[in-house]
Amino acid sequence: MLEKLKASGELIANFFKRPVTVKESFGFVAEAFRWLPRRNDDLCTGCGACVERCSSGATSITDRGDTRVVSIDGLRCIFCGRCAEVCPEKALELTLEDAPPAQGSDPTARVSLSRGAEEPRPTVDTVLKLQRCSVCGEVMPVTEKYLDAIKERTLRNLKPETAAIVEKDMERYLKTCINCRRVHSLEWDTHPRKFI
Amino acid sequence: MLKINRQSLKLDFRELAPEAIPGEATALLDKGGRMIYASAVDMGVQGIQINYYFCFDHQEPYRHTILRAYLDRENPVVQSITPITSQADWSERELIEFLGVRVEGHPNPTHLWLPLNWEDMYLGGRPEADHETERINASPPVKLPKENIVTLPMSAIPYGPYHPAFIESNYLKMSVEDEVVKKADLKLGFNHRSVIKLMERRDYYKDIFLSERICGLCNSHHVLTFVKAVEDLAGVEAPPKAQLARTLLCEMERIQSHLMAIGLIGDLTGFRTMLMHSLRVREDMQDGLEAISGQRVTHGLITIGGIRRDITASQADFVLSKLKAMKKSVPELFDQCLSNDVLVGRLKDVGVLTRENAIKLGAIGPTARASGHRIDVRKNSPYAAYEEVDWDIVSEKSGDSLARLKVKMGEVLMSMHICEQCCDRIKALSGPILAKVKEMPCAEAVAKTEPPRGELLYHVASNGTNTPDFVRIRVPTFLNAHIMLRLIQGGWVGDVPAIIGSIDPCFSCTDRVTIIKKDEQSVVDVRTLGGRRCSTPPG
Ligand code: SF4
Ligand code: SF4
Repeated sequence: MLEKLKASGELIANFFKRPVTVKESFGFVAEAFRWLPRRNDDLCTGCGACVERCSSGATSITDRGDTRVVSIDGLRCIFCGRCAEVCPEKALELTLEDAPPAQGSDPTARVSLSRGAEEPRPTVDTVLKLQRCSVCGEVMPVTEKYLDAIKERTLRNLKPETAAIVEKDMERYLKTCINCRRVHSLEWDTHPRKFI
Repeated sequence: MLKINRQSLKLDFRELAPEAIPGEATALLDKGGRMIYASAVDMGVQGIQINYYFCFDHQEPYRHTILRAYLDRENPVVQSITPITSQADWSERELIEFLGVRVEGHPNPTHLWLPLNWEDMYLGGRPEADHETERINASPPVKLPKENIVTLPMSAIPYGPYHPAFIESNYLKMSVEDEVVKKADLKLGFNHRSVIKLMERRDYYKDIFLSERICGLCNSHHVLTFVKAVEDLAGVEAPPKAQLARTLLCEMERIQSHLMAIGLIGDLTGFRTMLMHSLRVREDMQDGLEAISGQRVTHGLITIGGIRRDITASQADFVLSKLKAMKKSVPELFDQCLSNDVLVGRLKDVGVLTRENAIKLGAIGPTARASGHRIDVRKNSPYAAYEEVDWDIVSEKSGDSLARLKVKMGEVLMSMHICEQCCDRIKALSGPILAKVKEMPCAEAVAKTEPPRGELLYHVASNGTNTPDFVRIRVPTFLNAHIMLRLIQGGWVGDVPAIIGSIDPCFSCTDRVTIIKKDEQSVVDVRTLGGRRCSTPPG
């Protein structure tokens, strides 16, 4: 009798207790936890280092017209952080959130494991402008920002007086496509050795 | 201050004529060597290179002898050494199937990896035109392939409980007479991912993540072994703090893997509560792993030359607190399990592997240690910081399934002891965590570690570029599953799950049974017994 009373007492008590289950997902987020990388659009130069090193082939570069899109496919990414390690501009950072789903889709949709084409795939896109050749106007397979970054980095390592001399030549050399460079190299005297 | 010696293995490549291999292998085995693996690489003009790896566990810790022979590509023939040592059995079947080497005198050259209708698909019934289009005839075999237990007319009976966590599909077939298993055969290769081939195409840093994904439970060990081989090639040594962190990570992994295995032994023998409880206890370790590495399964912490992210004092403290909680819960769980008479009765004297057999068949890991054969790569050729911490090999004498369970339990407690020491030292230590790789000369390196299931071997050859020339991997289950088959044969059907669970292979779920009528020695199609026809085609 006593046991039964005890048991029913416990039963009643349990009615008013909170559930014993705890929130699992994101209830505890480890300090080192990593999710999709986020790219800082202002810093990214579209150099392609992250594409080269991505361990799962999630990162890709697509050139269309005179724009370059550097993107990360959220369903392929294994959150290894290798891209963030190698990015020379430190533009990438692994975050705790999903990237926003592709435009036009339900913003509350979570990452879906299905690979159907109609599924919104979380992507991390950066759109950059490709350089046009200063002579012939052809689109070159490098971005404007990347060339600027190279120029700036090279000049920084030179003595100020040398930098002042080569700056203009360098600008012309970098922003010319390979064909025009060949045609004009004698006339311009802009062999890369000159800058070193 | 922590001092860690250079720990690369001493390799002794010995090039021989193919005919001389059996004689030399016998000599090495007589000297107390243990055959680890045999692998082959197609080297193009030079021919097919065959390597036989031997080690000398207790005599000379770091010494490894590799017998090497080059075979003619047009007519690759080599004498089998399986009659000399059965440890070569599966390795040689692998040579036959993957490289087309003709191994003469192999006692059982049946399909282990390739589809059973392989001959039909490619060699025999394939019209000439298909050579150009590379089309495969994927239809089921018209005639049954060669005499092979797997191809005998059988029916599908789901055998025993299994755990869906096992993703690798192996396919075990047993001929059963009454309740006794007469013959068992295993078919592998359903999930062949050609990781070693993919590795040849990617650079070393991408390979790290690839090798991490070979196994879910021992992924750090796979990375560590690969990275150790690459570090040997590049001549760099990880700094002490990284070595400690690697040791910590590997031991934490051993704890969680063994707890899973212990639970699965319970599950496979019909004691699912034990699985639930061990998973509950294991969760603490998973939290610890998540705290230091960020992920529960693929940690991505180890890299060439050290570790990628520092382990901070607060993370070490977190792991210590989890270990403290586990110090109470784990022995409690183990006591409960071992005081359960049903479980103990189910495992005791089941699948006994004697010490002689363990040595003869080349058992490794907990399977060998449960038979009193005290081998452990961590002691025999220590790596990472194992020489610096206080620990000992856990072993049992009796060699039955219960002994294997007890060894795993002992190792969990031992690993917790190691983890605590590592955490304490990591907290006190500061310094670099990454050594820089400068160049990658043309060379070859072999590295070994001790994952939860036994010894793991990586053979990496570099050709001076940023991708490896070839990679060869010998996983622990490769030897232990071979032993598992031996233990199953001659035992009761009911004991099969207990044996499988205690060996703890990376094993999955397609089990099939044949019934042999006692007097007639003929195979009975179970479909004719049950009334309901089974839809699965034979094979
Ligand atoms: S700047 Fe960084 S993020 Fe942008 S393309 Fe280069 S490596 Fe990738
Ligand atoms: S985190 Fe890893 S997988 Fe994801 S985009 Fe970066 S390099 Fe690729």
